[in-house]
Amino acid sequence: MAGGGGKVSFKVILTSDPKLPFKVFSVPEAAPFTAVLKFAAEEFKVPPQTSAIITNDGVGINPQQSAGNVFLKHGSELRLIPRDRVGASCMLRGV
Amino acid sequence: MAAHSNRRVTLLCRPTKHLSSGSDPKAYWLVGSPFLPPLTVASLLLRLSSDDLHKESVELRTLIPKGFEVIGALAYGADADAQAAVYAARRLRKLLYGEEEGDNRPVIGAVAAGSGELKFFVSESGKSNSLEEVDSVVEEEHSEKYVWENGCLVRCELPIKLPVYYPLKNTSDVEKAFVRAIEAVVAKLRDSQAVYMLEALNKTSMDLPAPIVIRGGHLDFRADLSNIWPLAEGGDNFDVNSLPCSYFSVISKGSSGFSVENADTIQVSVLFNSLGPSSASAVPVAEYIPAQDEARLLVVDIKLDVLCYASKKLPLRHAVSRLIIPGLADQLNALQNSMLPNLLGQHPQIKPYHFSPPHVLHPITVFYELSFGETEMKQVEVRRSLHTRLGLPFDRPLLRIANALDFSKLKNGGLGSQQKGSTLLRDVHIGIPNSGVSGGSVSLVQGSYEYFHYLQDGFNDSGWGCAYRSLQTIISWFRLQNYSSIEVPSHREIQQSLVEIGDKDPSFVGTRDWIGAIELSFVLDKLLGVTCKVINVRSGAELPEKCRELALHFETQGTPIMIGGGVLAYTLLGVDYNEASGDCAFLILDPHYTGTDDLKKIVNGGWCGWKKAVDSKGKNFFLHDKFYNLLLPQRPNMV
Repeated sequence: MAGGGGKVSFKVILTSDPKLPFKVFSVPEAAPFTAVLKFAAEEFKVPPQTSAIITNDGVGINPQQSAGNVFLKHGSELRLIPRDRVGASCMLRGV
Repeated sequence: MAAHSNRRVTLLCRPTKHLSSGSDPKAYWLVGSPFLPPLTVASLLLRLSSDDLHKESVELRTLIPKGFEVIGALAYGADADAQAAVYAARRLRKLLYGEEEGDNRPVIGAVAAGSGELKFFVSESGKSNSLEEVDSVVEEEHSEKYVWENGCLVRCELPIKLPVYYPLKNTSDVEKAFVRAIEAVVAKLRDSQAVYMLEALNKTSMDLPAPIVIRGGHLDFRADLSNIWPLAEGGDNFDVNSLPCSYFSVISKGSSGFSVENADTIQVSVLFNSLGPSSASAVPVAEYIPAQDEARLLVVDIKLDVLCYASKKLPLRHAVSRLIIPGLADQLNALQNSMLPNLLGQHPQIKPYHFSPPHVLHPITVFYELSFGETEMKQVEVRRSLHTRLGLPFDRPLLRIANALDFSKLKNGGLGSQQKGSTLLRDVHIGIPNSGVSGGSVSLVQGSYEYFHYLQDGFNDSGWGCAYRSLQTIISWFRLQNYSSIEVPSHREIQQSLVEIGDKDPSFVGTRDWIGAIELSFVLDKLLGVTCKVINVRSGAELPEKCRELALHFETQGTPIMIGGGVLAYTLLGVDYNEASGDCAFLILDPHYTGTDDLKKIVNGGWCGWKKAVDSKGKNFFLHDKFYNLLLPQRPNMV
């Protein structure tokens, strides 16, 4: 997926769905990557605050960079995963 | 072709491990020891300079401890030539050890063509060009035992404040004066008035043998190290000059195993005897040499520290004359060359350090220039170059000052009993009961970590802080492996980081809000520059399928993993996985523990233990209706 005229495209796969649906997004290079996260989450109808984007090989991406930066460093094939939030005190004791 | 030799080559290291499949021709030096049988290869050092042999000799002279020596060369590549390898090795030996030594010993020329098949040839003497092929090549299984069962370390630390006088009128003379001063020190070491005191390094509180004093006049500077005659056992005459190194052996081997760290170490101190025996009594006399013109005094601060390897049978006085003194002289000359360029300006702060890098049988000695700190560019290059020469990986600090051998402490086998002033428990997984997986292969975290859990430091994070605690454990791992020196952050500092990178609003700080694997990846990236991989599974039931990937992670990266899912965070320290049967167990370090830092309580309560995906009662450890994120921190490429 090439970028041209100052825009970059990403193919984002929704991993929580066994059918692995994907959507393609095009954003300006300078746009913060959070915008891609937001669009992708909205398109897939999942809350953006509890979603994160990782690369195809599973490398975590800090969304506080430009879309162009992410495209250069990680390419265009990405995955949308749900964020875990953990902290409860009722946990397992040793088996 | 080549005639065949009756000799045998013994390999204590595995040369084929070093030979990558790259097509670039490479050359290696083979290292052996006069105390080991001839043609015994203890290690391989990559030849870094393909044309400047003199440069190689300068670097190797102080790198390889005395007691080990270059015994050959290996050529790898399509045009590998044994004769050229032998020739190079002989020339290097002459530069390092002198003309005679260069020619007299048998030298190995080894070749590995592209296929990786190794062939060994021996040149018996430098006087003739003939090579013989060695058919008998033995790979020794227990290399560390081979080297350390009958060997020991001899160390000498000698700080010198060297006064150099030079005329003010002709300041360029300072260099000549300095060189003369260094020569004078070397001469003094060989003087009959020099006195060497030897004692055992205080390893345990056991009774140690009494220190020994050897006088310079009894030293033999030409003793042949490879020809150690078993000395006649003393009878009534306790002759200090015939005592072997084994005199200082502490008989305590047992379970510690053979290694550089456990080797018997003899400490040598240099003293100068100014008062000789004299028949006539005399008043104290002061000597002075008048200076021609106004002169200035420059004091050069020198720190010498030599570490040598010796056979336990070697007489102590030969250890001094043939190992310690030449070692000190070599270090003095190396330091002289580093100091000369800037004698009248800022002296570089150079100090020798000894290391025992993993998979290298012998220790090495490196000079580090400390003026600008360890992360300074030049120092990083020095370390990278050493990593390249020794075949060490480039993704882990192994030759930092924090990694250096420490001879000053009382050695003991205790865990977490030393350094860094921490009271946290370390490596609590060591010694726990088996996983119960039969025929499984265990892959564990590599290196050390500290156990962080609820309620530590009097901080009440019970019910919400488990992911924070797991993060603290992971950061402690990066600290202990010398990737970073930052303090392990508090909950508040972790929250602050997330606000700073924009993942959370400022109101987040001070709350008891939960975080997960993704937040951990952000903090690791921000505070340590560490990248992470994330494995996401839709159901806890899928986790056992990930065992192979997890095992591979522990084998290659060896970092602790954080597991987040179903409201709980865990730290994963290892997997035990039977590929054939699919049976597996996970070594879990539970941050939800609220008790005291008591190892027994922690292990008995299962707060650090092996958990099977399905326990004996059929209960699932991981929830099948919840998704899980696993955070796999990656070692940054740094040395």
